[in-house]
Amino acid sequence: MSIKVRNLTYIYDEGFIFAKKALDNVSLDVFDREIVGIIGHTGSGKSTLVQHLNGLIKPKKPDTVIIDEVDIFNPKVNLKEVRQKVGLVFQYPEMQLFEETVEKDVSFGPRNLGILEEEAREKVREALEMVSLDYEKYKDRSPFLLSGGEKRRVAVAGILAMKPKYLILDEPTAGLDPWVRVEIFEELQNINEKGTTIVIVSHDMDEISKIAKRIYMLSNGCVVLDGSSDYVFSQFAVIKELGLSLPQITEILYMLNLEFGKVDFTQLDLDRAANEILECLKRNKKWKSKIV
Amino acid sequence: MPFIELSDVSFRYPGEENLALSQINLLIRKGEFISLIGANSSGKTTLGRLMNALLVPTNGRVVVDSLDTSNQSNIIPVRRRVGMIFQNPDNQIVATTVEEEVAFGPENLCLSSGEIRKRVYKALNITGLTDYWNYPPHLLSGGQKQLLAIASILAMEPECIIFDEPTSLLDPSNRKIVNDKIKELSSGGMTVIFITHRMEEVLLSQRVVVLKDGRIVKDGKPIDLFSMEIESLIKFNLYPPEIVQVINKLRERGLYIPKEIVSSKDLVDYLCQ
Repeated sequence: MSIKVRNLTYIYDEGFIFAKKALDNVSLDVFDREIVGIIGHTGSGKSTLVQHLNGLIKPKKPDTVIIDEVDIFNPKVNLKEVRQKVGLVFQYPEMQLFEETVEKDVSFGPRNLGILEEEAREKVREALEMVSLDYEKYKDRSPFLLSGGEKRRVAVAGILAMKPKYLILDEPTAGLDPWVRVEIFEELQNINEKGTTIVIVSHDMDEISKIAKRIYMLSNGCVVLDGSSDYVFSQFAVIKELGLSLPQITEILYMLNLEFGKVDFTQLDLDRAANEILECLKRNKKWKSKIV
Repeated sequence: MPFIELSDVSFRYPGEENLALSQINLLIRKGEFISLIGANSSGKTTLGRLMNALLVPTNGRVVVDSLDTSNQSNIIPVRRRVGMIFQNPDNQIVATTVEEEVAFGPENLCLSSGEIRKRVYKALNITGLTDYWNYPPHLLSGGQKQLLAIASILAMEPECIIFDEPTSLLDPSNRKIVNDKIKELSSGGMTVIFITHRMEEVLLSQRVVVLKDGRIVKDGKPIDLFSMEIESLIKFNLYPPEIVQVINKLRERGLYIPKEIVSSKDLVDYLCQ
């Protein structure tokens, strides 16, 4: 079971003066239970791509977007089922909060699927727990009086309550402070370990490097790099050229490699990276002069 | 004489139990470039809003260019002197073309059409948006939209601009464009107050004020933050950038690394010596 995208092209305002090719022959796979990162700068087509994955934007050709063997181009496909299976968390999802209480907001999805009150409550409880919010403490609070990080979590819980098999998040941590970002990424990791396949869209390489095992890099609507995260991060020159920033540790190791050679610059763990730097200095006799 | 002076300022949002800010004393000189840093809900946005009279203090006094913000008749003069840029430019863009957007402020100041035109073109020129004068704002990139918001403020000819996390929604290349522009405005004599939660960005400024739970916990040189122990940064609820973590790991392993080193490039240059 998987999401398959094959040679997908999408043009905004096709035939008009401001027509813009947002996706150009993009192919991508998301396999069961993995965490995939989609990275690229603003305007690279990331958001347009993920909106195809649950049929918010319908592909114009058959056999381009296939979800669990179902071609969503087919007019007979029930998009409601597709959207339950593929949960999409937009950028700034907290802007879509609307109910009086957290419980009502999170249960909106399940209730619309015709699930009974009691069962919906259970789903809300589970969904809130997945994002580290205590059900009893939050259920009766207004979502509008929560902090930025809490609002974001409630919005994500609203999608989780639908029990999607695939969870797609568009810039899930944009605008949040670094501590909250770290927490949200830990929560996503746990959600993934419990069996949900996750796709994360981001322009932050640092962040993506810590969670995604496989990465697609987009630029001007095309996939310019794809592969394991180690491989993608080793393509230093391409990344720089695209104007994306690298994890600082990668940058340091890469520059040391340029100077001295034989440095493994794909290392992302800070302790191991520090050891790598020390060994490099020792090898090249730059060490003694710098010992305290 | 300071340009902005806060004395014993406290602030409580209506209906809230806790103070959002307490006992704030702060002097900002004309032409200074100061950053305010702190985690979510540390009070940094509230502090910014007190400085251009969007909020008035519950206790204490905020004085901008000799004008006390608690005096109703000073509100408009204060806002003319102190402009504000928010996190999301979409929230402050109102017009249908770039040119009209920038003209919106000066039009409301009831200036002559010649003067309005002059100010609009000057502001577009400074922000590098001249070629986009007839674009609808929604066709600009995120960074360009933020530059447009800056142009709209510049056309009001303020003496000070408060930037409230102006780059937190931008990707790295757009972030650099906006930050470079802010630096340039500061070099041109503008008083700049820069609110951020990214430690790397405080290096743009000459002075940094750290807020935690509504209080000022540090006021000093940006470089000093970078040489602090990780534990102390965490106590301030600041997230140490990776470079600071790497330097700490190297120090733990017995290497001497001077405190002036704050970027990957500095570090590599030093290591290669």
